[in-house]
Amino acid sequence: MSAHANTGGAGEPLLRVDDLAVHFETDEGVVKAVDGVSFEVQRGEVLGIVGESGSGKSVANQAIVGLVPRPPGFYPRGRIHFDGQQVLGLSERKLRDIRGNRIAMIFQDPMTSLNPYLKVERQLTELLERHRNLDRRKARTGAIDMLVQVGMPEAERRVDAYPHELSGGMRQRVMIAMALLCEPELLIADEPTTALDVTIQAQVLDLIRDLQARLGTSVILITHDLGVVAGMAHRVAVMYAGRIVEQADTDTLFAAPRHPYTGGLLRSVPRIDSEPGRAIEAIKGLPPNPAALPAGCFFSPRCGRASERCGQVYPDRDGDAGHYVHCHHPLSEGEP
Amino acid sequence: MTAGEQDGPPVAGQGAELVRGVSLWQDAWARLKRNRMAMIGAANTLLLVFLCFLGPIAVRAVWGYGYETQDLAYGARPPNAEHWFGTDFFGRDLLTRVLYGGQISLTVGLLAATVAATVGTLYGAVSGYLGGRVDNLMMRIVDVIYALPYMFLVIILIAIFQATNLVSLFVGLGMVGWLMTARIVRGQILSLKEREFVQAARSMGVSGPTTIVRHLIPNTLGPIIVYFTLTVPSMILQEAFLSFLGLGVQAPRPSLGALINDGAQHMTVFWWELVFPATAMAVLLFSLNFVGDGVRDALDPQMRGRG
Amino acid sequence: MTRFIVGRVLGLIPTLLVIVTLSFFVIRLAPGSPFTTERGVPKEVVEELQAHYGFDRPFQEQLFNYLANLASGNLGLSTKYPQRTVNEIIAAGFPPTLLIGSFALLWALLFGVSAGIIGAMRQNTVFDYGAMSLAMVGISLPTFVLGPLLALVFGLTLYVLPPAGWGAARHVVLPAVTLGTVYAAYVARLTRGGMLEVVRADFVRTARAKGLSEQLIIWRHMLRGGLLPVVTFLGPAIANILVGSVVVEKIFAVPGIGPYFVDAAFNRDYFLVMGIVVVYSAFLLVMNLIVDVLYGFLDPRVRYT
Repeated sequence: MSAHANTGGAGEPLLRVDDLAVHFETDEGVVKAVDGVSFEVQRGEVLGIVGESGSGKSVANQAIVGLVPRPPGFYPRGRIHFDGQQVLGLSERKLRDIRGNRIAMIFQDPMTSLNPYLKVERQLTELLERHRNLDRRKARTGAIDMLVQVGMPEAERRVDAYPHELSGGMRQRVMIAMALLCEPELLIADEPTTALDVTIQAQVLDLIRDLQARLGTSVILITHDLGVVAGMAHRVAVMYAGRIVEQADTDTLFAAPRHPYTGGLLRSVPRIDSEPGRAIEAIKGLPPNPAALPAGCFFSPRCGRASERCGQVYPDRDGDAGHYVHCHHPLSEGEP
Repeated sequence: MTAGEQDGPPVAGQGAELVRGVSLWQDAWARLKRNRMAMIGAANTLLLVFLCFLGPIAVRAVWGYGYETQDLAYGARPPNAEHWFGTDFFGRDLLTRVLYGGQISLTVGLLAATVAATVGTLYGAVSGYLGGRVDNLMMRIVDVIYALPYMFLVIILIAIFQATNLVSLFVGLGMVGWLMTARIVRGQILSLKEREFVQAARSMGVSGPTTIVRHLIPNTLGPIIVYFTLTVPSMILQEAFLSFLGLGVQAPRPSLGALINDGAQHMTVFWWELVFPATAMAVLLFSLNFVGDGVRDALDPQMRGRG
Repeated sequence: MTRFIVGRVLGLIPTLLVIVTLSFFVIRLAPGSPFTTERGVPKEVVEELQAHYGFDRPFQEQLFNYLANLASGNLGLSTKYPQRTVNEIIAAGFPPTLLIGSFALLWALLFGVSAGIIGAMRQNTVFDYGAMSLAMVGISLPTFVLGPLLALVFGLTLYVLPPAGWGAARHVVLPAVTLGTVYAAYVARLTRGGMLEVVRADFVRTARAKGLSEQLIIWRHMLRGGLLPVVTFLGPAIANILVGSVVVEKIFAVPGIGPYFVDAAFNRDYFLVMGIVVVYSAFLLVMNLIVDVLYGFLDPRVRYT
């Protein structure tokens, strides 16, 4: 299906992120936006990365394709292997061959993420011109085909529209078409539905799931909303203040969360099947200032289970690759 | 504008108004002090003001001559130990004339900018406060004047009325300068007058003019000051432009523009007559422009980098 | 779009009418007459001259006649240069003015846009500070300062370019550079500002995520949005370039329309002053219209109404 050669061995994950750290030089000192994050994405897998805004989930993923602005950003340590190739520190030229071609991204707000000055056609064809060496006419045909695939009504006509002439849902379809145009092996969807109306959200998620299944694309789905992850992801990583605090397959995570933060997130999701009268709980407090992280476990100031030790020592990893947690006092099964 | 560029959280409502009033100026001052080019410009401007206003007096006191004193036997000498900038065709000391010219430029610039700021502020405030049809008409007038090749009209006016004195110069320059201020103030007033504290003042029976002067204008002071500091160099420039065409300040008073004009006519032989006034003009504008830019960046961070 | 342009062109006529009437009033109501300055001219001769130019008629009739002539493209007779019509004077003087102005604008755009892009793409580096300091120097060098200095340095000291005169291509260089430099500086600052507005825009990040080259991102994705402030500035810039040409033509002895203007105003050469005002105003109005259309072309979100 894919035009790209698979240079990795059997069982080798498509993407392996190892101890990645992305820091920023700011006036208030070094901000450790991402600090020691590791995860893998298998071929055909959907990985959900969940966290509040500022948890570093977007930055970590922008680092994969080298989109972190440098300066002020820099990578003190870490490795990123994509299809067996180390991509962190790859030259800008080589990264450009990967971006939009083998790894594509969908961003949060299609209104601002599409260029308001260019027609949809130009914004799609330039990808095929760049990565497939197609001429403008063939690229146009390809663009229309892709728009049809993402369910754009009247694609033949809409391809000549400017973004402001399209509705929010149609704009996000254009974004998705743009991302999938070169049949990438990995799709990074960064809050793809946050800026959309609720009804459109479901349509867009269905579309991504559908295309993922059809094309076999691996997907990293970044969101603050566990509800989005539930029906989409095979595995989920929960990020807090630049680190992954818990990772498990989706069913396990929802059934038996072990980190108090994950538990808190789950309780703050309104559920249609919850008993009437059960209050929706919000997690107390605010995420920490990334320029002044607390000692010990970063979640401890907001955690009801925190002990003295939590304020002193960052908890080690507990559990295996299937389900692990960084917590001194993890929830046991059945605990709220 | 991305969130990261904003200085401090957005404030709204009347309660925040007072807090903002204090911290706005302190913030602005702190930002201005950090802007090295603006501070150099300000120091330079002060130095020039000092030199231009005291220099001619000192020269007259010590050497006993002024910008108008002729010494025909000593005409058109290049710079030397006695006359640092040389002398002109009539033997007048060029340094004194340049300093005096700078004095005229600064005075004209400040006064014309003050006139422009006052007229613009009042016009804009009235227009914005009254709103509706009056506002529409008043702004249409501004638009029409703005669309006119106004510098031509100024030239016509001055030439036709043979009114080459300081008063008509102010009128002419003032005509040019107030339009932008009027537009900006009007925009500010339009949004301010819907705010609670203005509504409160109105409901307590405070009259229209009082509301404008006491409540509305003070709250638009930031943009007014920004525009004022940017108008001063532009007025100096316009005055010099007119003087260069022989439409500004008249002989024997040497404005910088007139001196440059003289210099340009004699530059083939007396290069110093051109180089010194021209350099003085450029340095003066350069300093004032940096101050203006700094003040704008300090008071209106969102405007940074725009023209 | 076509309707918009036609509407705007028709809208120019009343504006022009207002300008003409206003100028006519200002000029004619001012004290003095074109003939009083000539000493020793017998009274009868002056009266004859007045009648020849129609100045003895009632004011409204004069205005009406002027407008009627204007409608047929006749700008009247010059009093200072009795052997030439205003049409002839302007036809001879406008091309050099236009030529210098066009090259000045070209220089302003070429230099300004490049410097602005460099400043924005290398924000807060030596390049940025260098370009912007240079721009500040440019803004502080008005035509009447820069012109004589350039003439002195390149024309009278280095002998590389003629310090004055007209007729050959090299005569255009110094006047155009003199006239354009201030605007080059403004354009540089505006371009930098506009580019900085879009440099962090989401859609530019999208373009990066597509793997496009940096040049393509600048040219295709950033420049349109980044240049909008410059386009807005073009209208006033063209007007000011025309005004500035008065000075530049004087400095470099260019046979343009500028020097006529001041002289004509001093000499009460009514029809010549009016003619220049009319032609300049019409030119400016048309240029502003073109700028508006250009703006809509660059930003598809602008609706023509």
